[in-house]
Amino acid sequence: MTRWLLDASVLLAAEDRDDASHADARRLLEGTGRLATLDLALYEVTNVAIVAWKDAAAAHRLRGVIAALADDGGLVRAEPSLLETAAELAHVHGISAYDAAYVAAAAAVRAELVSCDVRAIVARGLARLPADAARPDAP
Amino acid sequence: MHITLDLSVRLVPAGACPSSRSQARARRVGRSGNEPVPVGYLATEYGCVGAHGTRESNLAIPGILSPVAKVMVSLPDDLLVDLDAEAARRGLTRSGLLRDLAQESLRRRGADRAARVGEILGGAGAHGGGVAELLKAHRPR
Repeated sequence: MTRWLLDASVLLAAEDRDDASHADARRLLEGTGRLATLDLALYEVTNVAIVAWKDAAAAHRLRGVIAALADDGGLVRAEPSLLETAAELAHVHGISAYDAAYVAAAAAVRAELVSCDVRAIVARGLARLPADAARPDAP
Repeated sequence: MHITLDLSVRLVPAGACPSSRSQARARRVGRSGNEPVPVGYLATEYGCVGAHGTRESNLAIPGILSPVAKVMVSLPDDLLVDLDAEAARRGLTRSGLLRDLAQESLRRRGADRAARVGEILGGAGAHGGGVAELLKAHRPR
């Protein structure tokens, strides 16, 4: 069974009922597949919930989702070696160090990255959309 | 470091190897000869032969073969007796029982996580969508 590493955009989509990927992100997170995320996501989702949405309750829920992933053995730590790989990936692919960190984390735990960021990540073949990962026939 | 592989290789489905007989004939590949390392298996007419294992060097053909690691586990004697009794009761090998128990445990943990996330996100809000763009816009420049 494929292990999926979810970036912050997927976690945010699961919290935002208005987002186009909301239903797929929920299906992924509420399924029994093997899931993980990077500790960076904790800061990123909290930042969006507090600064953009101004919604402390949403931030609390998102931290709860990440804690649940962590208790399921799915929290990847951004160790120096991972960040070094991320820096190389950012340079090679011309993506941000944030996005590259998720790409590196997925590779480190032999997972496939899932992201809602079509232009920077999915279109480059570095991740799948939640809709693809949540399909019943997904690998 | 030595790698010993028989040349007459036949492919077998994942899970069919190693048998207890072939395990006995399997040759472990290690740095010192005694040191266990992760190995994959090829089935040969002489049984299962450890293939020194980086992930890339394990022979795996999706849908046909999957890599199998051989590991050394330390267990108290009493627990081992209980495990062997349970394996016999289920008609499994010791390895098969440990594999089943590990899979059951991880599956249960995944189900617990799924239920917990479902409960948390039952209160999800409506925030206007476009989360990927919003995320990027709020990253430090």
